[in-house]
Amino acid sequence: MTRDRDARHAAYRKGLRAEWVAAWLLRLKGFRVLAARFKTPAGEIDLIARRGQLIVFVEVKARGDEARAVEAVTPAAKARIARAASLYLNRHPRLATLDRRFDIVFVAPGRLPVHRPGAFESPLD
Amino acid sequence: MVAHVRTVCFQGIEAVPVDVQVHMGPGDPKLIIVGLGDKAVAESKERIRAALTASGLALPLRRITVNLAPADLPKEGSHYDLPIALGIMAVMGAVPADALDGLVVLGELSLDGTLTPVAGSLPAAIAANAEGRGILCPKGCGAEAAWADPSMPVLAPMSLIAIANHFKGTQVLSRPEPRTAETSGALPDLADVKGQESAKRALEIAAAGGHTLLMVGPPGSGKSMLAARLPSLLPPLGPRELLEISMVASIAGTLADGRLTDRRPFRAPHHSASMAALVGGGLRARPGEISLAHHGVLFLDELPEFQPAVLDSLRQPLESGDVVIARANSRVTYPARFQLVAAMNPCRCGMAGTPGFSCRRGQRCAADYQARISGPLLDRFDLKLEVPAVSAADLLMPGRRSGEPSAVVAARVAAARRIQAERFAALGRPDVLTNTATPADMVEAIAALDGAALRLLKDATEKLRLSARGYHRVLKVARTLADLDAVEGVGRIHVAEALAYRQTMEAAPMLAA
Repeated sequence: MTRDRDARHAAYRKGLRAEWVAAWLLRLKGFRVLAARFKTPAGEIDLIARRGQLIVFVEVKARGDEARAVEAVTPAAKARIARAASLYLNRHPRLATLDRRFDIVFVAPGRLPVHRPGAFESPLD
Repeated sequence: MVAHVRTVCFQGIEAVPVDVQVHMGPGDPKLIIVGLGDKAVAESKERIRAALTASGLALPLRRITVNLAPADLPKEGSHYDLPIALGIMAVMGAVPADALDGLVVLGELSLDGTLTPVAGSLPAAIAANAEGRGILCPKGCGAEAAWADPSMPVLAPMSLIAIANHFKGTQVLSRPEPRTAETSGALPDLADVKGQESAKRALEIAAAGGHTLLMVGPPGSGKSMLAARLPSLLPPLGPRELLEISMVASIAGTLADGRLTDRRPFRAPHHSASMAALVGGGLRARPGEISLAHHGVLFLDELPEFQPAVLDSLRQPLESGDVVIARANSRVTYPARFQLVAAMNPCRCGMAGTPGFSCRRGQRCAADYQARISGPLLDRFDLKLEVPAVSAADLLMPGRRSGEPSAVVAARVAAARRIQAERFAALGRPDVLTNTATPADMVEAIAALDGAALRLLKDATEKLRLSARGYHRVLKVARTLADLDAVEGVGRIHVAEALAYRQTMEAAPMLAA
């Protein structure tokens, strides 16, 4: 029981650290981070950032193996992110006219993080 | 932000204008195509995406909606790729939006951004010219589209990049030259046929007036050989005829390399042909053999071996000169003014009527075989003749080419055709070119008979129980015979010869007896 809670705690901290790394990667690339861990009833978005006329919704994956990390973003997860993104834009109507993109950032220990711009498209209509 | 690009949708050989509207607006990045496109149009999304990427452009991160207007008209084919891609480029600002204003665009994209030829660029170019627009089509279609009008703008680029460069002015495209196909080799010559003088005469009459011809004879008597020599007697296509047959060929996608030829089409479908293959039809209501033989010859060898229903489907187009293909989801008209030439054996064993031969099944043999062709279809043959087996004496004639060469006969045919065209032009019907196409109300006007000829025809009509159509057809053949003789009035001898070709037909069932 204790061990289980410890493992979950470790995973949570690993995720937090990965998001921190991803946020700084985006800042280095000239993005302004608008929100982190944005929670909605539809789902959660790890990072929302903006650069000029572009708003990106970023899923952060802390996986060593990039191929396995790609698999980790399931169609259901994509739909969740897309729904959460449209909820975010509903709450911020002034951002709704920007170009939209869905990115993934892979963060692995002992390696440079990898940014995949436009990694997936919204599966919604 | 909406861009408009003009393209076409094909209904028969007509090109109906279609407006491609491309809208880019906020929303999740997506490309949506609406407007009743078929599967090829739905798949064009992927080709456009790949072609734009290959050309160094990425789809914008916005919602792009493409509408093919009128939205209730079904759109078929892959030629919508290019107009949609150019609409997207215009809305992105990669090409100036006003550059596409005066153009009709069609073409298919390949994944590397080059343009693939599509069918129908000639009718599209003609429709564009009628609206006072130019045409933008793939390089492979340029020569075909350039035929529509020598003064209209024709752009035939290799790739999407070439289009962008042309509008930017860095690499301006030149107008493609209309090309004609080199006439490939000489046609078979009439002089190759030994003997068969009466058959050659009938062939000449058929060529001169565009008349339908049925040859009946035992195997090996040279029916197919004679029919194959008919194209060498026919005059070359006039400009308007050429355009009409090229439109059909363009829709069918049979114009090799966009080259037009002034040779008349000669179509000889096998007797296993289905009704859709012969008349036209299928999923996209494609033109059939009769339309591909427009202004040319449709040769049906072994006539009774065709399915009776298929043969009888020819009756209507034979009269009207066009064919209406009506399906639940489409209704198109194709031109089909073809000259029907048919050949058949007199009976199953093929030898009925030959001296010294009797069928194993007796008279039934010929009667059953010939009964496969319906009376109404037989009635539509202007000329019917027996082609007897060639005699040994004719065959053995050493090396000498027996008859006249095709060129001599073709000159007489051309002269007769000229007389016909001039006569119909004087009567105010320049669209009618041959006697066989004479409208019913003009038959008596063009074939004014003198007293003796009229008496002969009256007697013959009663004796042979000619149908009204048969009567008119005799008059038309007689008119052609007079034209071949280059005389004004139709005389007794002309009527007599025309009746002789008719009579063998009426007597056909008794032929074997």
